[in-house]
Amino acid sequence: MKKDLKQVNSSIPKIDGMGLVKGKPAYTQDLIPSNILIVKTLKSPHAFAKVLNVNYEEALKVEGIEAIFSWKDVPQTIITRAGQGFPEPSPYDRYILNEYVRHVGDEVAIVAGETEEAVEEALKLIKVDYEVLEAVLDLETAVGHSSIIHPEKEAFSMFPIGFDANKNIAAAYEMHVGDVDDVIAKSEVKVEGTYFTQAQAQVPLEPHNCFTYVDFHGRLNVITSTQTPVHIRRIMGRALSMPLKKIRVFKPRVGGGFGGKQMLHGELFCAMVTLKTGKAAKMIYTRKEVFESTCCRHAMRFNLRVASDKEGYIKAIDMDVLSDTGAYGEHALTVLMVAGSKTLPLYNKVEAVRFNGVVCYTNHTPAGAYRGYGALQANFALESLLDELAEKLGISTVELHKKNMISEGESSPIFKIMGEGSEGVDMNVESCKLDYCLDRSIELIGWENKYPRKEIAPNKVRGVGLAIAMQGSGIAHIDMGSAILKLNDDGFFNLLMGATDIGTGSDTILAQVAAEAIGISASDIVVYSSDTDLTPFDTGAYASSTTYVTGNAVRKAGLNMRKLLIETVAKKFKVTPEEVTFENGVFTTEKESITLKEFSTRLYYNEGLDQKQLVASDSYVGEQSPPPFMVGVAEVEVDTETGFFTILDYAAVVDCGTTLNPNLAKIQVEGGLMQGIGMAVYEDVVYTSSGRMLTNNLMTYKIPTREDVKKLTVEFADSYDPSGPYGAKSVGEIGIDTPPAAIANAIYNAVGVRIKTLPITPEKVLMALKLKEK
Amino acid sequence: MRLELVINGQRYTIDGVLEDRRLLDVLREDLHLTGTKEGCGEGECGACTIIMNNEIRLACLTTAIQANNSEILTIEGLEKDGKLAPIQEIFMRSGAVQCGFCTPGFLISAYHYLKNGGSKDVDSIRHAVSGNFCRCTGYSKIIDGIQESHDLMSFEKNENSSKNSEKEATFIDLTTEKKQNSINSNKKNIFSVSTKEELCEFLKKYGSEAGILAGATDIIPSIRKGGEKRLYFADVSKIKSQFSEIVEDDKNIYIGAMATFKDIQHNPIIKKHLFELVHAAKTIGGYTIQAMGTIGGNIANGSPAADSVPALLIYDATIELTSLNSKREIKLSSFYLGYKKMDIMRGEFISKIVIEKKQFISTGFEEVGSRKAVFISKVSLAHSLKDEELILAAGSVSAFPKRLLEVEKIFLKQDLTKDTLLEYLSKDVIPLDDIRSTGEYRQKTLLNLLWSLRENLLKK
Repeated sequence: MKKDLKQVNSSIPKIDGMGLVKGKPAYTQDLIPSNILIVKTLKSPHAFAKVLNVNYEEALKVEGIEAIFSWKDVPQTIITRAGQGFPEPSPYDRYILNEYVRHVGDEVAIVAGETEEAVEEALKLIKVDYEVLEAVLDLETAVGHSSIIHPEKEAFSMFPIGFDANKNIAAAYEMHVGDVDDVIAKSEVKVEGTYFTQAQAQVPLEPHNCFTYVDFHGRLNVITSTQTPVHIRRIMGRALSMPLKKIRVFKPRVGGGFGGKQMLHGELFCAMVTLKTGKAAKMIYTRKEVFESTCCRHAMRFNLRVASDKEGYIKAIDMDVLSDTGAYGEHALTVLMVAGSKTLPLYNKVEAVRFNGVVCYTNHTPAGAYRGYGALQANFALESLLDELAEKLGISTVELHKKNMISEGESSPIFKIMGEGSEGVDMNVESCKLDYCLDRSIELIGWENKYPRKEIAPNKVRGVGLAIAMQGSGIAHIDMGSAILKLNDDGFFNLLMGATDIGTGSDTILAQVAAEAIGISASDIVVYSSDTDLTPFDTGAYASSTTYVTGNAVRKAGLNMRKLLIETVAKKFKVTPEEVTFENGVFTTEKESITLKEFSTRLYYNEGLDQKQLVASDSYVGEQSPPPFMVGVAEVEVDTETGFFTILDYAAVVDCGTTLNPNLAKIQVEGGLMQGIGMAVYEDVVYTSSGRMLTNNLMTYKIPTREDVKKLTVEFADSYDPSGPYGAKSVGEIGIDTPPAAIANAIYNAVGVRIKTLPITPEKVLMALKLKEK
Repeated sequence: MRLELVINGQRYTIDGVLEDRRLLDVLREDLHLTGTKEGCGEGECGACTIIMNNEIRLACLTTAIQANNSEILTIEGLEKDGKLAPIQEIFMRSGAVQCGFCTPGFLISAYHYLKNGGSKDVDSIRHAVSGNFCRCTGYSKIIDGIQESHDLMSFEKNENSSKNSEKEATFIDLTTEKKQNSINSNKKNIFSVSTKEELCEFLKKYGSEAGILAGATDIIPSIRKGGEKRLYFADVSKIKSQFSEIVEDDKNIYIGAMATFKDIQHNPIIKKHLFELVHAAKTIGGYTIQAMGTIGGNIANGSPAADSVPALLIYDATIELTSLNSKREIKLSSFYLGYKKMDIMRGEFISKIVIEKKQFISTGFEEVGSRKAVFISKVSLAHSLKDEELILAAGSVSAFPKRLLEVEKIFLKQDLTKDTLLEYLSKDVIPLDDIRSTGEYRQKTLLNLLWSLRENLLKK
């Protein structure tokens, strides 16, 4: 088990850190050749309109303009840009350009030219006649609205997902275990509430960008900042009616994704220009475009009921969700289902549970994938309401959680019923240290002395609150990762993977896994990821899959390589493989020994007919998706005069199995917490009444700075999941889940007001305090 | 124009550069120094932070004309003779680098901080990097890394000049390069002025179509977004030193209008006498914006949330307006006439702020924003009290920051009730809704802030 590990469970520095601290060219934008066409798109100023005519005659006359396309000039093949496995559980409802524009910022025309100035001028000269249609801007009235956002008859879903365009429904889902209404009616204690979670923007520091060219073989090359090269290639192939062998997609260093780069964005616009002009082209999103024209988190409304007996054993949970997918249905169903599948199993001992949800189209910027999707939203609702339940029961929230939360070795019927877009997979939770996480996190925050509140000045009150959470580790039976290991002369290895490190550190931890499996040092692994021509299949960096799914594939490939090495050495020395040991870079038999370095050089140059290339590979699909768990506890100080509050301390204890690289795991959790705190208290995508986004820059859209949280403590539980690579589970998303509920609960404990609409702002706190006074 | 620069010790001469080409594009595109990143292009994210003439600066808000003849240090220049600076080593080792996109900006901010004698204190370090956003790490490793490298860094007095004299300049000719991008497509004109007189003549000639590029932290984003109506801009880099002095005599303190907020927060005279102004200077934008933005610019911008203005109002500041042949002084409290309207005449510019030295019983400046750093306040309230003389000033609640003259009249009366206070407050300001907050919240909060201030003052 863990104690024998040499390369993993060790905090080696990131393998790519050196180049990055030196500021070496690494990201897509750093690699763009000069003298390349500049591509920009004309955006719709209307939330919903039909494009009657696009006149670009004058615009084409601008010096330096190379090409302009409207929807009539591009293929009208319907796609989904979601960037998921195939067939996608998202509706096909999007074209490269279309005669309808469905949100402010939706693309109307593509312009390519030699200079930014020429392109900007051409954009101004394009005359568009719109038939402005009534926009749907309210989540609550979207379903069945007289305005139908997707009237196109081509829209469809690959399999039943509840898609009903005529009612503005992108997806719908329901399931139940037992008779929820009956159990609730019979229960002694009942609570219910309505909660609202806002749209949140991913805000990777590197804006979306890509460039394209056709190489001398006539193949389209797409260099892009993406989380999903393989999906990008597949979707582009469909949209452009090109065989996949004609397309190569590769990603250089990616400057953050968080789900925002799972979808396809500028790639098709750029490719259209390159294919039609034969010239290389680049597209770099402005920050405003990233906000308005990429994607954000699904805003959601929850109606939630929970019932328990008098002792505080939860008997029933009834969760009803309405989700806003915006103009396009990317990730509509999966995000909805995760709201149930990554929260309800936490309370697995209920007698009845029901989940019901509808995802509606609106004329907002489309929602897409974003770290913790669905889980974060539902966690806020459920963990807030459980805090109310504890109060009603007269017990502490700690006791309530201990009585009800899932334990190691247990299962939940939800695992089998709800997957991500389809049915799930039955499993027992083989590793779950929630009990430790809970005890340790309240110890870290000093809960005993602080719960529920402390008045430190006449208008300053402190309070503590907590929330627990779970995630998954990839999508079982669907997500596939693979790896190729190639031995080189001089005894080092190439690790080729389709997995995409988007800043998470996955290249580093996967090098550690490969090294562990082969029995060498991680410094002898050269990682390359990812390029659809050179690296093997991987679904991509999403759904908390890389550590677990790709990690297992890398481990298997590493073990295969070790076996291959030993067999080859055995053959050379004419002994059985059992007689060869490999340690510290040296193969030893009873009589002889040879270093890996010498062996590999000889193997390629000096072994005559026995010379051969050693390559090992393997792939992995999760039989299950072991959940990481965590507990987050917040301490806040509220100023009762202004409603302003400060997060004094946030303690988080995480069970993610073995931490393959403890330092990097910690940073992943800290970063997740920070985004969760942003979601809880600052970040909000706000529109005008006509559907224009107000928060389209970093001044009005507020991501947290380091001055916003006084203290942040992250620790890990000692845990080992037998199905994970060296015991590891995922860690990428879990960190984001707890802050909204933990902070809301802490504020309630401090000043007695419960904010049920995110983000929690000083305005809401002060107004609630006023209301309470009355 | 011909642009002459020394970057990381190397001299460059670039011919045919557009005056308003961004320094960021010069670095990344013309010189292929791609370590400096563009995350937002609006001066918010800090990914393009560089050091120019020993001052921290955002390359996306700097035009070629402003950068001319300067010495620049970018991320590529931190490594010396093949050896990483200790802070680079520590960032790499400790995990301060996650996706890495913000890293060059953080390293430059940290380097500048440490080079200029920044302390090991965590709050000071946080302030120094408050203009740099990171979305991946949660910041802990970055702050720890800066702290850890505090004692390990060694600095040459001047990284640039020691080498540049020996090396020949790299020459680049962009004269025939038609693909050069600049900050605007509306053909704004930027001139460099060398004397006060030139500036006044420029302002007189172009009147309401003229603007001054001092810190340029608001104007450049505004031009890029197409929101800037003025067509002519004067770069004042060459005369900045004449108008950024902070001096005192027996009676007054004189602050040059081109002093930056960083100058103000570190100046011993201001620190001694004008505590609330120091506070305001520290909370305007992030640290990089504080190092570029000028107090005159903040006043002339006339934003309702211009954070230095309430702090100046409570000291009853006077502003000096200079024109070609004369000077005129006016109380700041009567300078604003309406939303972004002020008492400034054609050919005049704000040259100085004059504040009389006084011994106050109490001063204070409270701001309510959302996040802690890089915020624009939703409500701010400043006060000063000297003997019987009380000044109250509020920001972000009306068309411009203003004194609460009605409230001042009754504020310290013994029998004042909260209702009466609200009545008088309503005579001074009726706050409105905007993207940052609601009028109702602003009014309630301002009332509460006033009430609690009153209780504290009465105790004294």
